[in-house]
Amino acid sequence: MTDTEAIDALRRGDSEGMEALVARYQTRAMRLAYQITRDRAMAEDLVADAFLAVYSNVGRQDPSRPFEPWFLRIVANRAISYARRRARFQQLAHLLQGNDRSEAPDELAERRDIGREVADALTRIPPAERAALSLRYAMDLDERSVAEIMQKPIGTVKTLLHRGRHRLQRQLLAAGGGIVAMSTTGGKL
Amino acid sequence: MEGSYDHQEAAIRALVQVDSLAIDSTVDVSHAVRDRVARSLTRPWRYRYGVAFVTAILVAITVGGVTAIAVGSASGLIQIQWLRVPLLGQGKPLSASVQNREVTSLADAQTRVGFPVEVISGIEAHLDRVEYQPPLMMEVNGQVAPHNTGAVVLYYTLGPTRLQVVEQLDSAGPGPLHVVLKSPPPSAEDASSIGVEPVAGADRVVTRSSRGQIVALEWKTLANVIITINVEPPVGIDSSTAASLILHLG
Repeated sequence: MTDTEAIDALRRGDSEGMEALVARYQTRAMRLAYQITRDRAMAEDLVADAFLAVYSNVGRQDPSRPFEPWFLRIVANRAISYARRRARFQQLAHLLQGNDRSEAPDELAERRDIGREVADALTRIPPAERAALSLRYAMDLDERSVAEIMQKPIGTVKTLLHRGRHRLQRQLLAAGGGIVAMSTTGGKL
Repeated sequence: MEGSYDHQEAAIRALVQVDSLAIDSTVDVSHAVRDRVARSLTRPWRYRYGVAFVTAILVAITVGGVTAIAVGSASGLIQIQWLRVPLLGQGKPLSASVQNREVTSLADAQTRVGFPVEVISGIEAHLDRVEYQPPLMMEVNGQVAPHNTGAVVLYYTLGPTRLQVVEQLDSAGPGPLHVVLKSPPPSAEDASSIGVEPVAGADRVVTRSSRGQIVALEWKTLANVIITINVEPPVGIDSSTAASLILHLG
């Protein structure tokens, strides 16, 4: 079943249309939502809600335009919105708790893990930059498509990508892991 | 410098891609989506139920200045309304829709109604005949318009029992199943009773004979299709047979 057939089926109230869209797009949507929110459970929640939004608003989808950018825009907008709200809450919680927490030795050891370093570094950059990085690099979309999904001018997307790359690099340098050398000298990962 | 930039970008790309693999392709949100869709249908229905019910009563009471009494009863997603007014209101039917049924194939009927028809399978029910019932055309204030949508009528033989299954898209769109009956609610002394009962895990409009057997069932699917099963009188079916029929519709 093609996207067009699936959407037509959904418009007729045929649940097979939704099943087809979920099967085709859930992994990419989950990856995008996870990379923006840094929270797997929340990503699942957001993606399920995004599919529900598709179900509720399928009449508004322009049949002449591809489904994926429209859908990823819904996912990205929701994930960015959630991530921003959580960041504000965490800042407040941090202020209320004070900043005297020292890391335990096992936590320090864990932080040596490359995946964790990258994950931590990504967590510290703004959600919009995470979204741009995820769409550009994990989804492998060109800048024009990223701009379309994020509903921002292409210049803004270039800026988000540029800032995101540098911020990620700085975070990784600050973490001091082995991947830093590779990312700054051009070594292969 | 540009080469260094390309390498840096390649490194960042690789890092972001590795990070995205925290979500592997075994991820499955289909259950969560189904739950949400089901809940989304339930919540507005409950809300709309109140609005629709009040509106229906007001319309019934005010249309044409005719004396009308509306009594509603409901359970879950089903609304039964008893009206002492003509079922078709002020309109004038232009065609006898039921009499215009035509025998056809399942595929043709399905194409004409525009939705996937559910067929009883997996039990000893034999599909004898398929008919397409065109929409009932009405004239209201000089304007001719369809009163409802076309329907598929399927005739089955189930052992000694003959069944008629009618499937029709609800022209009212998403919302509760709204059953309007042109008679007062049956009292305890009435020969038959109509009510909402749970059958096969969901509420259905159930008509029972005076002997307590089910002679008709009606419900609305998530796909907005109203399904009615009529059992040829005088033989009815019991609740377990009714549940089995519903579970084998698909």
